[in-house]
Amino acid sequence: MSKKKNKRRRSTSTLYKIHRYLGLFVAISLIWLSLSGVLLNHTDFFQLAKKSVNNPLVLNLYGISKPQLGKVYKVGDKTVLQSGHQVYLDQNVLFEIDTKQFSVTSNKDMIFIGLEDQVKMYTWEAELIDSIPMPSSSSSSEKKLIQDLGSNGSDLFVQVGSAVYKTNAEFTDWTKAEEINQVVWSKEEVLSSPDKQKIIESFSGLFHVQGPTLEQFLLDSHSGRLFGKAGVFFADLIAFLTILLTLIGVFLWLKRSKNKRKKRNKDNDRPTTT
Amino acid sequence: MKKLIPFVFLSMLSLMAFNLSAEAPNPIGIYKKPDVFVKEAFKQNPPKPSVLWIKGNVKKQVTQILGHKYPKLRVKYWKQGTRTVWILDEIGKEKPITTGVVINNNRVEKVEVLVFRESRGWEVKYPFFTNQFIQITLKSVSNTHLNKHIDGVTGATLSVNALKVQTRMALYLHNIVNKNVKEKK
Repeated sequence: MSKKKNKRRRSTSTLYKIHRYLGLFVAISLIWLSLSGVLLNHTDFFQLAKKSVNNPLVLNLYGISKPQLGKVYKVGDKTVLQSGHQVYLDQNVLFEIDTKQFSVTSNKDMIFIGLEDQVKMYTWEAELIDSIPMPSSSSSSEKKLIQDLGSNGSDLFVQVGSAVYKTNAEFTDWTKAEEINQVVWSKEEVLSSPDKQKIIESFSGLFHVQGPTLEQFLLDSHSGRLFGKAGVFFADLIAFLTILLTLIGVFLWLKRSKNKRKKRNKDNDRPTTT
Repeated sequence: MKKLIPFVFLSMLSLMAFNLSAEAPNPIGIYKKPDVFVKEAFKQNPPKPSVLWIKGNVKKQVTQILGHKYPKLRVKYWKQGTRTVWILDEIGKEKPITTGVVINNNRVEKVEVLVFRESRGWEVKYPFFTNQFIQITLKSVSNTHLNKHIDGVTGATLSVNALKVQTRMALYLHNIVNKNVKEKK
């Protein structure tokens, strides 16, 4: 009987230990989760969506780096440049690219930007007119990649490997070009460091780093997404441990109150000596 | 109770592992190249492409159909007799869905999803959905709504809407290039 009692006492004391250490482990995370939860409940009041986090550590966690000046082309009085993954026509964002491979030319009506497999046509006011894809070759599976772009003032030419193609008058299709003497090919601006700095200063808005909003940061740290999948699983673990902590707590409380009741009953049953 | 703890831990771990392995299939991809779709529509002998400029009244009407401005200033199409083929892009939720639409005699002959870039809603590529558009037309020349109800797909509402507006736009532009609607400047 006493052996059984001792075993029960030992298991209860182990549960108390687990409860204590679990409590300590979960406490800090729970405080952060509660605080961030309260803040997220009042995003409008605290104007969290209007504030951004620009701490280098946070920017690093989000993989945000300062955009670098890529290729620069001058067409007429306009500048086409790459800042990070974005291509701009003066201050207007045109599109996003993953590579540094693009070339620019123009005629009196349009600006042409050649990517690897298509040419994008823009008005001088930065409105997209259309994209002209390179024709897919039926004879070979080899992908045709645009290497350079040129114009003779009206027509558009592209260099693909050793061949040169010319668009039709409506800029919808390509044919092999015979006469290319008048073609002026795209020319990237070769800039010295001070010139680059001048461009970065004159287009300062394009090179400004914008971190996530405070609301986004709180939301991601609340859910654990800030630290990727591992963070999400850690948040899950904290949630699971909190449930476990509650269950153990209730179990221990019930056991304790049962023991107290038993003890009280025992005391009441004991005959009183006078 | 002590014996239960490892069991509960193990169940949690296996649940997490199941969640990791049970990822949805990747729906993003080119289902058919646009030029292949055009060739198929004209039995391997497609005409030269033409362009329709989106300006004036056409621009207004297209904006009304899409609910936003069309991102390009012109649309390329292929026309042979009474048949026209349109390759149109429209954003479902975040990224454009490229759809091919064949119109013949002001009625839809075929709708096919060519490129799907969204992470959800790819069910619209299946014929059980796209076949609903066959023989559909606009209510009238001035009313650019479809003359038949299209059943939605659960969980793909935005992709369904994108295909519906693409079809409406193709039918409207078909009317324009066939001069059924007067083009006002």
